[in-house]
Amino acid sequence: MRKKKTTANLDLIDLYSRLLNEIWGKVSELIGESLLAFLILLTIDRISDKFPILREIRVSEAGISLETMRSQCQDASPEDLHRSFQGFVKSLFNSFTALAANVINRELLSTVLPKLREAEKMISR
Amino acid sequence: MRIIFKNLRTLWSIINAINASGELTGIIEAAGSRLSHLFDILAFSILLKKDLDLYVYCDESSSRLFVDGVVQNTIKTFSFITGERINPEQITKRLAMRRFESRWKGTSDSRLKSYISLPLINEGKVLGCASLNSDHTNAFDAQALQFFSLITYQMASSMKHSQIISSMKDMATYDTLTRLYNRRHLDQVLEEEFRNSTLSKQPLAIVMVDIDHFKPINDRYGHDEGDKALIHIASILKGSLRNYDIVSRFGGEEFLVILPKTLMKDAVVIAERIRRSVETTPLSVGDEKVNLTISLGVAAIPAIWPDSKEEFIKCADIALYEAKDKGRNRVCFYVPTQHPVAKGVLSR
Repeated sequence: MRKKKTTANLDLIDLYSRLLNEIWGKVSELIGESLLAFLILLTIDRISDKFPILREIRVSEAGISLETMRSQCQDASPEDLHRSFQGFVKSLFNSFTALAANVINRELLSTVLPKLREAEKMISR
Repeated sequence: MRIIFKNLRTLWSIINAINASGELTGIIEAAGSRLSHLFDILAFSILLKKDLDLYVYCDESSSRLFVDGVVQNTIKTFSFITGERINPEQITKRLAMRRFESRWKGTSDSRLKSYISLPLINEGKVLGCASLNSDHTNAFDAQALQFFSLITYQMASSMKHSQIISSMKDMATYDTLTRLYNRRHLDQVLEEEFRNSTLSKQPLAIVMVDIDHFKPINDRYGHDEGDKALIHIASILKGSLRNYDIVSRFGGEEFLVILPKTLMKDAVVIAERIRRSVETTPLSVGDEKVNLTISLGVAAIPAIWPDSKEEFIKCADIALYEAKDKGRNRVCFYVPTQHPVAKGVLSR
């Protein structure tokens, strides 16, 4: 049972890792790595009380990494993990909206929506 | 293709102008006066974290409604970035109306309809935020965001550089404890005042000031209280002088005051006023209230015509030692006929 949960968590982390790296690639082209790293850290800082697992996300100008989270996710349920990432992506979009209305989000929607749907399917399986 | 090259050239010239501006206001002006060459904006705004200065550069056609919207939105974005709640009354607004080169002009009922705001960040620290503002919906695209992010990077980096230069200048000019001019700066200013005075035959006075019994204060109460005494005297000196007088820390517990275009008789009156002010203003040292005293030596041109500023200072120093010899807490002035000892004793 525990092994099944861990596998589901690792699959989710893989999916969100790909999603976040795609977001990183597209947005860093628009606003640069250091500004994006700042915004991601700001977002994590603001919602990590609600979703503590997000503190395991590592961010620097080199990019975003979920490697630490992989080893820390055994105790979390896949649903909680998914909700945490959903909350994070939503807050990140809110940050982008606060700064540049829809300019950034327009570039991202085609990437983000399919992956969020895929995550939903994964959870409901 | 031609448009892209034109835009890149414009971007390059804006970044160069920002880079070439040494001071903070120059950096903001370089951006504020040029951004409409690249973006269709009605206003550019920037809110700085230090001192909460808000600069808004608007096209002449901007309506009051539009400008108010820009101000509110810039404050809102700044609060979002910094997490600080800002009271608009804390902000100093600086509004500059310009004729922008944008394609669109405002009307009397124009409102803020789209914007891009980016934080000004250097080495992970927020210096403020900058915004492009338009009265058209969807006025900005991905390329505008890319260009504006490059500009804000350059602005943040130039601002940081200007802060470093300004703090280096500050260190070279001011005494870190008392915030009076330091000895180095005093030497430059006195050299200049002395040269002007001797060339134009204008009067010039200097006052050497020394705190009486300073060493026992340090010995009895410790160096922190000694520093408080220095700051206390510095504050009285600053408060007792005219706005064109110059006061500096000469070294240790000594200060030197330069009184441009001042005759001996007037300099002595000023020195006496300072002495009395120090004597009657108590200082809290530890649990006690202490009334410090000072001794002052005055030298003035044309009462004497020293050959150099060093000789001029020496004359004031001789008068100061005369004041110390006579029992302290008094003003003495240098009398050339009785050189090397000053004989004029004003008070006590």
